[in-house]
Amino acid sequence: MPESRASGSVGSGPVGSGSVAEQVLDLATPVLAVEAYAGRLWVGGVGGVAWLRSDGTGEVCTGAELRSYAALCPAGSWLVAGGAEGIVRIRDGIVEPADLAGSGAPVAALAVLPADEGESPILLAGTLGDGVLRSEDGGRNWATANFGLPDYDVSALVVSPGGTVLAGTGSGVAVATPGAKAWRPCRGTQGTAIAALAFIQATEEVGSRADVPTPRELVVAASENGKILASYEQGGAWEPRGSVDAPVTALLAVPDSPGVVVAGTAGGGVFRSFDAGATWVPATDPTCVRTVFSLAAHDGSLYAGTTDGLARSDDGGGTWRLVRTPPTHDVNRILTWKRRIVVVGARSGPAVVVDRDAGPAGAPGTTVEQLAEGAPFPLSALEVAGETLLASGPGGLFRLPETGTPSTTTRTQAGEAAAETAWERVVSGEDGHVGVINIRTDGVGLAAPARHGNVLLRTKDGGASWEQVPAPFGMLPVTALAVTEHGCVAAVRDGRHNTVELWFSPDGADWRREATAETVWPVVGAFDAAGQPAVSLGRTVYRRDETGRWCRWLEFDTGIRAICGHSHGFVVVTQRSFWAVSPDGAERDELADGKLEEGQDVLDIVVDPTAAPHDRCLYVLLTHGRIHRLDLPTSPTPRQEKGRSR
Amino acid sequence: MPRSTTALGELREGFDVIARLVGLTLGPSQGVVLNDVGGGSAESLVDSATIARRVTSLPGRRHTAGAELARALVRRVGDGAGDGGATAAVIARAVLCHAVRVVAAGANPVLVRAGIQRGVAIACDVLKSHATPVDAAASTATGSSLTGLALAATSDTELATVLGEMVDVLGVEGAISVEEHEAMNLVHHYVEGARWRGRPAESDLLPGASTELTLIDPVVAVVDEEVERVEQVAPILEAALAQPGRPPLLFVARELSGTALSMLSFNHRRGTLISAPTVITTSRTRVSDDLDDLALLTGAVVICTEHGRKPGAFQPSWFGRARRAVVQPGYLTVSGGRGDASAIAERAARLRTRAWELDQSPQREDRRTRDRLWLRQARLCGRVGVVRVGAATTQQVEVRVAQARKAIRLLHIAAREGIVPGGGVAYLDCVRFVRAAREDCTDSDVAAGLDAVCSGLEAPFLQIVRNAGETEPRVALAKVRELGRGHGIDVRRHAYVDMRSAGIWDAAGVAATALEAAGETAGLLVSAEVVTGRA
Repeated sequence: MPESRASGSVGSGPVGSGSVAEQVLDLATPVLAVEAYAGRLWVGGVGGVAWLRSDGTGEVCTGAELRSYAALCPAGSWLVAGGAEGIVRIRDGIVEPADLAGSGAPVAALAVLPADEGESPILLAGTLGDGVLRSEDGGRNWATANFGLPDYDVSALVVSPGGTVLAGTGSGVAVATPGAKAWRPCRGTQGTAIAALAFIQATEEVGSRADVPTPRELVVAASENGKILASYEQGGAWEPRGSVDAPVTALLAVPDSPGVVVAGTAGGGVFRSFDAGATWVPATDPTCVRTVFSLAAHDGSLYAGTTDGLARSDDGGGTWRLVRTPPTHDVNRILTWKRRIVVVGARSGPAVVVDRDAGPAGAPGTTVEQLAEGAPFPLSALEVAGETLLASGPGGLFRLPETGTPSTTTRTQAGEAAAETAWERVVSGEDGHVGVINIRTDGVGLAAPARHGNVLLRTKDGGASWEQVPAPFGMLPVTALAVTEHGCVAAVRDGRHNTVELWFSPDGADWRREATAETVWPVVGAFDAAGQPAVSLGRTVYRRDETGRWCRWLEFDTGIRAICGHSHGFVVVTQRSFWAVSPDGAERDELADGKLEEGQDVLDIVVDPTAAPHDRCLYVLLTHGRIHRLDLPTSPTPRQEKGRSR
Repeated sequence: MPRSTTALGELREGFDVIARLVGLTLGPSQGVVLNDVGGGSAESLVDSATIARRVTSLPGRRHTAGAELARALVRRVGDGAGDGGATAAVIARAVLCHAVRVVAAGANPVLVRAGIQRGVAIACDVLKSHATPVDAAASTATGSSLTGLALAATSDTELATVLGEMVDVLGVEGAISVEEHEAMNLVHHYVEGARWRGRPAESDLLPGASTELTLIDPVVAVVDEEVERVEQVAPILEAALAQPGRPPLLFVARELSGTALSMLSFNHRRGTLISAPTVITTSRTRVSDDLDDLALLTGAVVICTEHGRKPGAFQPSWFGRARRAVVQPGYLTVSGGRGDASAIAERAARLRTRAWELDQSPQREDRRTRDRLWLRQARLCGRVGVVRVGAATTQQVEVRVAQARKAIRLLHIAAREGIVPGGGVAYLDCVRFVRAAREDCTDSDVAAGLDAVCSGLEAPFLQIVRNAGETEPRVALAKVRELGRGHGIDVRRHAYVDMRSAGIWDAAGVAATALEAAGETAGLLVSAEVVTGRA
């Protein structure tokens, strides 16, 4: 089982040796999951998991294993986290990916069944598409356990103190058999899309002693349209109990307050009920918290994961305020555009990095400004095309016009954002949903679909207009694409067989397969090497020469993480170091300040192509939103070595 | 019983010996019968079926013939109903004992036999009318009823708990496959969707260390032929490529080889079309049934030249669809098939009816056919479970597997025909109805037969109490009668209880089957006048 170690801390300071500048992104992003575990509060965001100290500082505990963490669950000594890309186990900074059956549907809920001492607990994961996954080995391996489940969209899982397991599905509630290997639909919930479940202690008047309230275990379910259902029979039979005036997303029984339950909603803030879900009142300040993803109780306070970050209530859900959290965004790409640094995350969107000094001093949340509202969500590709930006998502391919200054919107801790749509849609729908874009300086470029390689989009005017051209790449998406003066190259990686196919076309329309290589290294790069297409595979860079042969051009000691070209050569980042390489590849210089510390991971690099030679520097995006700046040498240094060109 | 000197008497004595032996195993206090296997060693026999299998001869040919009748009775009931062999033997012995006496006193054996038949019919009707459907109670109580039944049949708490849950979850139409397990424990799972024995047409289909290939929302082509040539797959591939969204292709055939397989594999490897060429590996005579079921479940049309549908003339409308297909080295599992639900239900019902028709057949081949038909209908309904049984030794595994199969049969009958109070109480509750018939009976010999049935109905209760160590079981019977209908004795706790409340149940179908078989055998032995055989 592969393991990776990743850690970081909030704050700024030198990352590598030497005098390098570093900036830490302060980007407010949604908190999808909140969970109290091992005496700490844990939050899951679109790009990581972190735990919190009481002063708001904390530590990020995950690397790039998942791109969103929508569910957290303590299981023995591990914290299990689930998200759009699967499930991981976290302990002492070690992140261990789990093996999952099914189609890789996103995980929406996690639960753990009580286990005898010394035995591995049984874990359950509710997914949106694969039903329920079940693990008998503490979360290492997961298999589907859907027998009898009325629907394969499972939004909620809850385990009663007595061990009864209930699942909230798109077609009602289901109760599990002991051990949760099979399910039975619950009477009274059929056809109702359940979004949240909670077991609560209710006070009910029982028998003739009506004056003596007796606690009873009640399970409450909330539907996606705000309807509340309740059952006293451990989910056996259900009846309507009340309703909330907004779509419910999360429920929480307030500890030590029998009958008090809090509901998080989509767009309506937080609601409270003091009679076990029969009647509901909104929280006193609904503007502070708008859309809630999850709720948790910790140290006498309630916490809500919301679109604007983490909110906290110290009065049982009456009033809420946003609190600072370590970075859990999914920023993994860095670009330069109009002399500004742009960082991009699939769910965090594109944002402009503003120098900390330029912002209001001491005001947190002002170092990153979101680019114009209306960018596709989630982002599948973003590329600079001269003075414009191109972005793609499931809604199509969009372009940010170069006319005028793009409207930036400051994201503050208060979550206030002015909405202004500035993106123009240039290709609609699935046709414009691309995963890779590459555009030459003269405006000629290609874009490859995010899902398969049947077609390509081709532009000759910098992305203002696109035409569809057929492509022979089959079902697999294009991994890397480069449009050069002497032709175009597309690399298609087949993860099933660990092979990479290299395709070449002189004009982007007629493609032929020129090479196939085997590599387990997951990163494939394609770039323009002095007019010739080149690709990086493993620790080797191959270049296509004038005769059409792919030649081994450069070799490094470890696998290549990223390559970035600029007017005076290009920069290569390997597992251990940074290299400045001359345009012809004959000379290369290891950047002394570019040593990576253990646990650091390079996500992307960029060199501003418009910068003057003496001002040229490399921006390195590291894990946890750190941006590392390295000055590039203006001329070869004595430490240079000859490249092993072939 | 005084030693008989007549051939008929010896026959009955032989029957009595075996009936007494298997009677010792009745009830939760299961007595042990030691069988001398020679060489100074003995084996312990704890269940009626094993006794009937092991004790093959008694001293004297006619004793052996009588013993064979008892063995046949025990085996027939046990094989058909999964349980009740000992009960049948005990009832038959009691009926026979009473009937022989009245015949010896001058009653007409034919009329006595008629009385026995009449009494048995009345009691069976009462048993069926007293039966409680297992799904009438709340789910938890239902589970415990089935578990209790399984526990009574197997005396294996772990096995009973698992089987009780599985039958409860899978329902009356469910099928449970019992397999041997290498480990010592018991594991079970439910098959999501429909599963057939199958394999990838080529080993390279599962890349690297993968153990399965999952196709999401595939189109399904079902070919009931051996596919070898490119012309047989090319039209299907082209049709799949033309489907909107280019879904993956599940290609299922009798056999796949040659250039046809190469073409599918090449396109799969190239990523032109994700496909899973799969071969169904059930026996050649039955593979057509399985392919037909797969086609029905997914809404596909079976491609078969004999039926006028050639692979070369493939039409896109012949594709089926499914939500998911999983190809593993031993299995093909398809879930969420888009076939016509009413047609699937109709075929499942038809298969079920055919299986029920073979239910009581004594032929081994018929029973195999019945099991296969039952599995097919359960697969169509998506109600198949697998239990893997392990134990410390190979012999224990075999015993546990046999127990599991018997218990499953018993539980299915219980789920289908309902349950009655256990511990012999359900038979006791029938006595007053048989007695009422006796009061109305004008023929004294027929009435004697009815009396014999009454004796037989009391016998299981008395035997269970006797096996529990009570020397005066009739005292317990009087006490139970005093307490009223449904009451009996929980011999584990030596307490008089309402058997329903205590969760002590019998399967109504098994109780009726045992009674019918006992009455039939007892009637035969009573009315037999001549015993022939080689000297």
